[in-house]
Amino acid sequence: MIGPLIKGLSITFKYIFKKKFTVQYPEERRELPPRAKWLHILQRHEDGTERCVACMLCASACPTEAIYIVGEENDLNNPISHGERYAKVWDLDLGRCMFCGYCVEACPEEALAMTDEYELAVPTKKDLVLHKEDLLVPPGTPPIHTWLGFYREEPVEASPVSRARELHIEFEEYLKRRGPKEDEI
Amino acid sequence: MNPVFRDVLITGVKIAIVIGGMLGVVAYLTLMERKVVAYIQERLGPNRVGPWGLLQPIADGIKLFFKEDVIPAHVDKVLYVIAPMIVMTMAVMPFVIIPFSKRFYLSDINVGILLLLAISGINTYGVLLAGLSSNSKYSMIGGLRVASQLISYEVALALAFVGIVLWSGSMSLVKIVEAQHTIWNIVPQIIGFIVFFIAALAELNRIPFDLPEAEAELVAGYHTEYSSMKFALFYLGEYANLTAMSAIITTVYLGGWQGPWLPGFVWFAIKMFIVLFVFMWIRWTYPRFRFDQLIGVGWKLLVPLALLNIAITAILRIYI
Repeated sequence: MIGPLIKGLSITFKYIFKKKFTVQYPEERRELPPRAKWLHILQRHEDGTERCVACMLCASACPTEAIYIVGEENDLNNPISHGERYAKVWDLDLGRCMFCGYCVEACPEEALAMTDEYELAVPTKKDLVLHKEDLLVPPGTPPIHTWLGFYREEPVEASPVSRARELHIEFEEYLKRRGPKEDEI
Repeated sequence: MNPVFRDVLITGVKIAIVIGGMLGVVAYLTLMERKVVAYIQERLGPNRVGPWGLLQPIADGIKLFFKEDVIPAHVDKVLYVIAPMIVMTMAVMPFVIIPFSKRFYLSDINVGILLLLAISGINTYGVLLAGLSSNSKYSMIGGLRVASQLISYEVALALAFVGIVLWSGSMSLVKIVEAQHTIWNIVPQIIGFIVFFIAALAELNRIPFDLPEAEAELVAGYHTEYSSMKFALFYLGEYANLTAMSAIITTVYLGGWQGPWLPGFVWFAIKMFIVLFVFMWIRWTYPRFRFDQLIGVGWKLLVPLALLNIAITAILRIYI
């Protein structure tokens, strides 16, 4: 009867000298894993234009309907994004968001990404709604490549939309080079 | 100076030192307990208020002091108010007769051990009255458990004391300490010590015998309905009891202030804090007993062991 009792006491005594598990939060922070899914950002192309083309796929994929987008046609002379449209309003309600990352998976332009910024507490509910200005990164920020999952370290040649656009341009050029066919006239 | 006045003054100062020191120790025991549990559970424990959390007990005290003192409408007011006072007073009382060093003790009573048993008996009343007067089922069950538990374990405690009295030939704690100058009582009285220690754990309502306040079943047991300073009195009383019991174990079994090189008071403090640490260590190691097991251990194991100890001590006393 005494043996197990002493064994138990010796185990708890050993734990007194073990390294402590506590992370002293405001002073120390635990390193987050590379795929940490916290605050969203809206990314830019290398030339500084916005990646978002207001396709609404993220808003449709969102299970909690936390994303609200108003798209607008691009001015062709001074385009804001590479597509036909750009997001005039891009709001994210963090009060609804559950950080599932479906929006990032849905984004065909690698415009949306999630960062390791996790200190999101705000004093009022109103402050929980983030607007495009809050989310858009400054030009020249190194991109986070999210397309085809979070694993990819380098950019693929193009996202589906820009790849389609490139194919379209190639085809136009091909048509110009070839000249009109007889049966097409 | 008038000698009577001088005696009163000296005694008053002594009492102030003992009570003040004891309350300080009790307040910081809460911190020690939290630190010990934290270290056993691989945590750091309180460390925000002051360096290493040293101001935490003061912050807790201020918080409890400024909390609203609610007296529920359904309680028996007089007993409800008296109960925490009884607990706290009786928790402080044992320090009257404990010798802290060769010279420093408040009084040397020739029936010291009987006084200790009487105090611990009255302490039961405080807790029992708190349970009954609260007029709530949790407090009621907690109070009833306290009554049955403390009464059963008091028997073992008293019988363990009988062994000590037989061995030392005196009931005065000062004489008991002096009788231990060659060998501490823990060696000849090892069975008695084990019985006393387990009974002390039960007397203090600590794990593994904390059924009167088993939070999984009884919310907080007998002090469920208490708030603010009344709750703090129970809490302080509990830790004062713990301190008192450690001091008694130190005095009776571990040679009190006796020890080489260091002054007696330091030896007393070292021994007392080791016993306190063992109490805390046990608390955060073992699970809780079932109630029938608790009473079973008390009557079927500890009481026979204590009787055996008395018999052995008596035989040794005759032939040695």
